[in-house]
Amino acid sequence: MRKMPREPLKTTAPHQVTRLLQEWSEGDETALAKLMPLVHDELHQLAHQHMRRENAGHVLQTSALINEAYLRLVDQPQIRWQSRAHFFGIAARLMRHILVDDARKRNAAKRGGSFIQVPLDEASTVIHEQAANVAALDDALQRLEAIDERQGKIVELRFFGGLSIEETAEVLKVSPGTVMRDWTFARAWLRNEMSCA
Amino acid sequence: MPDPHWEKLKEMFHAALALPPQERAAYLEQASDGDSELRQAVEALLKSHEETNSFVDTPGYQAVAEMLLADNDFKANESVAHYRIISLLGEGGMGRVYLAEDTNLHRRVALKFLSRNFTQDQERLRRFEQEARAASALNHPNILTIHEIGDSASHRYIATEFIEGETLRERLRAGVDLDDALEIAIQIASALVAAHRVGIVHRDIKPENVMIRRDDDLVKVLDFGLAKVSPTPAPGSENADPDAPTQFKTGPGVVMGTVAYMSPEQTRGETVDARTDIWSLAVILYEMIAGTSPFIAGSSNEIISAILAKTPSPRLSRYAPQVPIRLEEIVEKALSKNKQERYQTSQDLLIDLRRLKQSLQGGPGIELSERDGTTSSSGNRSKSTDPLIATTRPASSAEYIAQQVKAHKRGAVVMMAMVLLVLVGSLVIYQWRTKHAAASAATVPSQIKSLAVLPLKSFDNGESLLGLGIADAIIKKTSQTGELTVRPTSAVLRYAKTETDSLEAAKQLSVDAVLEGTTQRVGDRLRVSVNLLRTRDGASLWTDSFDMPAADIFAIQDKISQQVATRLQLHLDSSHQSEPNRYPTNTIAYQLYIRGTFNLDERGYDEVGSMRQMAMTIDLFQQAIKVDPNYAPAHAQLAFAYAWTALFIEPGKPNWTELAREEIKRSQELGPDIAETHLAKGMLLWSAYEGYKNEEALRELFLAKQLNPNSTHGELVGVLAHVGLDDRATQELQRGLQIDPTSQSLADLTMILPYLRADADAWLGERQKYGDVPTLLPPWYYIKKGRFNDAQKSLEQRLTKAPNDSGLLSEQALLLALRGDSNEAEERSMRILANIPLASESRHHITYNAACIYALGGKSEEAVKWLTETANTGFPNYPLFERDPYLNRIRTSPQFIQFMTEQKVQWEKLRAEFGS
Repeated sequence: MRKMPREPLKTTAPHQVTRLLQEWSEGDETALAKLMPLVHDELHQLAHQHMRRENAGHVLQTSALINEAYLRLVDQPQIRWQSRAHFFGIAARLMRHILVDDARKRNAAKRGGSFIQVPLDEASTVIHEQAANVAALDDALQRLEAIDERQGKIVELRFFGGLSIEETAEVLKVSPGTVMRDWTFARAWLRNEMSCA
Repeated sequence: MPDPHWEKLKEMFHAALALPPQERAAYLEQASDGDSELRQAVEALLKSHEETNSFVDTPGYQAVAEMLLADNDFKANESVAHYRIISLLGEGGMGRVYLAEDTNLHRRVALKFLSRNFTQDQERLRRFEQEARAASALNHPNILTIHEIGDSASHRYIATEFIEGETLRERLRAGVDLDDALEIAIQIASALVAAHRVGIVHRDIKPENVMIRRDDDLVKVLDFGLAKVSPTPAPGSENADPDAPTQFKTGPGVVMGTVAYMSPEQTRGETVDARTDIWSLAVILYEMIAGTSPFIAGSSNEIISAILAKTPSPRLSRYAPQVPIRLEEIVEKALSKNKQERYQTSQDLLIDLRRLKQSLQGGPGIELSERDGTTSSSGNRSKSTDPLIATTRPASSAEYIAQQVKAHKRGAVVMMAMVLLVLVGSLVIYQWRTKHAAASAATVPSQIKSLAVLPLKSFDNGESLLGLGIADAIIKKTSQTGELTVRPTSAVLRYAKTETDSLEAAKQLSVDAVLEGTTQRVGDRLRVSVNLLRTRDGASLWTDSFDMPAADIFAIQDKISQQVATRLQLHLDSSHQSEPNRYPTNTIAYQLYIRGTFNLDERGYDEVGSMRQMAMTIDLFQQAIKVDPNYAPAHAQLAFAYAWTALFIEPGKPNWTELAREEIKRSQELGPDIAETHLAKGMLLWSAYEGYKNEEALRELFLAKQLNPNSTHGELVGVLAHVGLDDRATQELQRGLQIDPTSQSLADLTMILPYLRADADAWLGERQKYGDVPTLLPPWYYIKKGRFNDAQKSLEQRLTKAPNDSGLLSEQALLLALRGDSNEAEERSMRILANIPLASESRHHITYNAACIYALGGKSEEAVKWLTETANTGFPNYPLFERDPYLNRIRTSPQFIQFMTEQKVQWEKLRAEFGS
């Protein structure tokens, strides 16, 4: 078998991402559309690089990866984020968009069923279930946000951003106890919503 | 913002949560203050809170991230190793499947990436790769080819052949008719045979794992060997099979599709073998015909109960009343709950399916089964080229045996020698008397058109081979009539050693009737009993026994064959009834003749070793003649052996033709017309030695066919194809394959025919049916397809092994011409031709290439000169000349027009006399 040289890691121009992030955080939704594929690709490359380094079998630390992705993506000196919290907030939102988008596509592909080639096995997999779950969670989360904005934010930061209770508290400028309480309730509420859906 | 209801809900939830569980109900009762809706909402939330393992919990986000990041998600045009992703095809238990282009070989492949939850388990991954590598060695048209198992960066992937089509599951939804169902089952069985032969069991044969190609309905079985290590659900019971998957998913609808095809031993978690695949295939076949699974139930557990139940599944005819009885029997046998009672090999199942299909298509063999007075619905829908005959090699068990024999030629010779030693030992002095003809005076129905003579069984230890000798003689005798197709000795060889039931053998051989018999020594006498059975119902049509001195073997043979023929109301040509020279007066001569004939069958063309083999053959016939100088068949065979050597093995040495002519003359002097004599004459006439007298040659070959319709007549097919009578050649080839599906020379011809008419696609089709297709096909194929780079590669590869092969060198020159280097091509072409003897039978192909090379350069005079030589040396293929695009540049030249006009006249003349 001919071994191909490894493809060099693709690097998105950092200033472009930074500019788009800034625009998006300022309310320009078109920036998001441009941002998502860039970040998506970058995450891919990073994830694969990680796996190369750490061998298959090593559980990936998602939050570490996300951190790294942003560190790579964002042109640090240019950033004039109001705070680190702002950064994490926007990061979690972006991550949510990417994950949910991916999950919905995945579900659609699965339902579409017009595969030319048969799948290796029809049995549904953890991945499929998770894709369905992500989509369901996003639906429920949107309802939660409509009722209770702070709880929605907490879920977004915790679930999609991978932040700890303390980090979430810092981002939202509330006490960890409040985050804990809200998180506990939101979690129960979402579970209930998702099981009813 | 705060919704009072929401705030109240939160408040009650947290308050209740702070209480010990037993006090919560009382608190909620009081706090809800009669608002039952509120109370229920809080209760539901509390209940949700207690749940564990919910998706929302950490590390849920991590799993999601893995979905995104670790599962391989590619975009169009992304590169992975030497593949370029085109689009997503689907997702499976092991990961995603993409359509991709192999950028090295410029072909489309399906790329299956293993998901991370798969690759994380190192042990499973190791076993998976081991299995996949074993499966990748499978090379069979009905098995999805695994091109590569590789890894690039972090991706583990399998690159396989890409098939555009649908799964059998999808096809089932549309309904499958009987013919198609049989064809699909046959092709799946073919795949199984190939895999089982090398010890690979699929373990997960189901409609989802069978693809049907859109273009040609070719069936492809996917994922061989992968089921063993893939996360296929298996019953949760104790696994006796250490390789069996341990987890058993019971989600509704998840497992059912798979469970329904599991064999009883598989559902019990026992070790599985090839018989499990046979079971699964039978379930599929059942489902295709009945339109429903034999195991229908609402849940996986009920399905498993039905599979394990002692009672057999409902008969097929319950759902499909018109189903042939034979098919019902086949399915029933394959669905035996006890694997000992099932078909023991996929080969046996394949044979039965093929036979059935052939008989349904109105081929020779079993008549259609009848039910309720109506004939099976699946009429005579025969296809122009029967794909099942040559879908795989071997096509039948007989063929398999033959192949085994061929693989061990020395073994075969030794075996024949043993047969004959036994024969010799048992022959002394002759005299026979007939015992009374016992039993059944039933008239033999006229639909008996095919017969198998099984080796007679011996009651005496160590003499089982005597029966084979007798059977061989009877086969030869009965084959002389044109009305009865008699399976050749090679097809019944296997039954000498096995204890197969005669009717079972008859079914396997697809004959209307079968002759079985026994031999028994009583003192110095030999008792031979025979029994003629009708395959359809097992009725005994005739029994007889012969009691004679043990030595009178030829008289026994004559007597039995004559009786068999009479009983079948056949009319042996009177000229064949008493031929003093058909059988030798001497058994040693007969022994040598038989060995020689066996060797002759193995003759090769011009490859290394052919001459040594042929020298041995010639020696055997010469010895036979030495012992019995008047033994005509030995002379005839010797003539043919000489002619063959003259034409194909040593074309530069003309003395072979002289020898051939002498033997032809001698055999004709000795008396009866023997087919082989005319075969030898025909071959000589179509050669440089006799000036390529095409018409006379064909007349001799047709005469040979008339004299012995049950020989296979590959020579006739070959000459017909060369002179451009392709339809007739195909017709004769089909006929030959019906008589002897095991014939190697006919198998070769299935590919030679498309080669001669320059049909690359048809050639590839035949080549694929034949078996293992090399990654790099012959240069000829690529040249015809215009794939010059591949042609170049193929030429290079083959020329390193055979640097002086004139055929390859000529193709190399042709390629040069096609690429525009006419001068170099012409020069080379002339050099090659200078080195080929004029008498060489392959020369006309080289001269034809030379003609094409000149035509491509626009040199009509030179081109026509070489075309003329081609046509005058046994290759006057007018339809090819008419069609070949390589000649297009000279088509308007006067020389070419003149040439073609003459050719057309000649061709039409031939067609009028010999065409179909």
